[in-house]
Amino acid sequence: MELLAGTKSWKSPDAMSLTETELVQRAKSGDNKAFEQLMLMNQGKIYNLGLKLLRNREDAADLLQETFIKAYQNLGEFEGKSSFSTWIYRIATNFALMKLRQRKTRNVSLETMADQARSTYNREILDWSDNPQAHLKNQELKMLLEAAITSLPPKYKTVFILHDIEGLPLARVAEILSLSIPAVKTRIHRSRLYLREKLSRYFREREN
Amino acid sequence: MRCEDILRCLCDYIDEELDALTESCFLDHLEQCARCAALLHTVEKTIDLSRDIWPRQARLPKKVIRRVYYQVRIHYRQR
Repeated sequence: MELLAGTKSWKSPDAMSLTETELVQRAKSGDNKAFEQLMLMNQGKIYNLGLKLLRNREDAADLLQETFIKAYQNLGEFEGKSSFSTWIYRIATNFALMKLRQRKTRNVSLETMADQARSTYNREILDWSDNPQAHLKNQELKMLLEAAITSLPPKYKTVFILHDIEGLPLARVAEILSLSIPAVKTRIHRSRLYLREKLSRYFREREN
Repeated sequence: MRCEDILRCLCDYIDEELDALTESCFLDHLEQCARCAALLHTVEKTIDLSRDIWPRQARLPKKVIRRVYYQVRIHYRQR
């Protein structure tokens, strides 16, 4: 009952001085304060990842909750081959992918993504990078870009957000998603070219 | 390097994954090809704009923290 009464036990001074590996060992042997210290260390990152992937506060809160419950339940299966934070990112992204697939939103097809990347040079290449309208105070452009990111196929969106938005290295993204590095690179490449083309179309229409 | 090679190497250049020699050839081509330079600049700008859409670190609301810890703690007795 004491544990349910409040949340003060997260910042146990004893647990705070331990490394992630030591905390995992303690949590595995039943030390719930150690598990809560691991939660504390990861909660902000996981919630923010949820906000970006699911674009909804309620769903991001659900993602955080389900990620920690699943991590707690499966802690015995965590072998330490990756870091705990990589493992927990994997649980969170799997939950997000499931949520995204359940939504009825229409995403761009994988074929369109591949075709668009291949045919980049078939279109006019306009350099709009210094255009005075190329900033997010331009609400029209911001909304267009948000919609374009939302419309990415879930497995592309996940890679793009983890690498280009969250700044995780390619190798870590590959590890989180259990993909090869070339597969991650392909998804990044196509996502970037797809989003760029969406913005290019906006500036082309403004020029004509 | 030809334009199609630039397209193929574009992301490796952005991610600093090119070896020194390939990077040098990549940059040589860019100096002479306005089209490829425009492609690189606009892809880089697209990434910058995408990154700026979200606040660096949104605050995790206290009521969410309370709810999550409460739900996790229910499972303590079940393991």
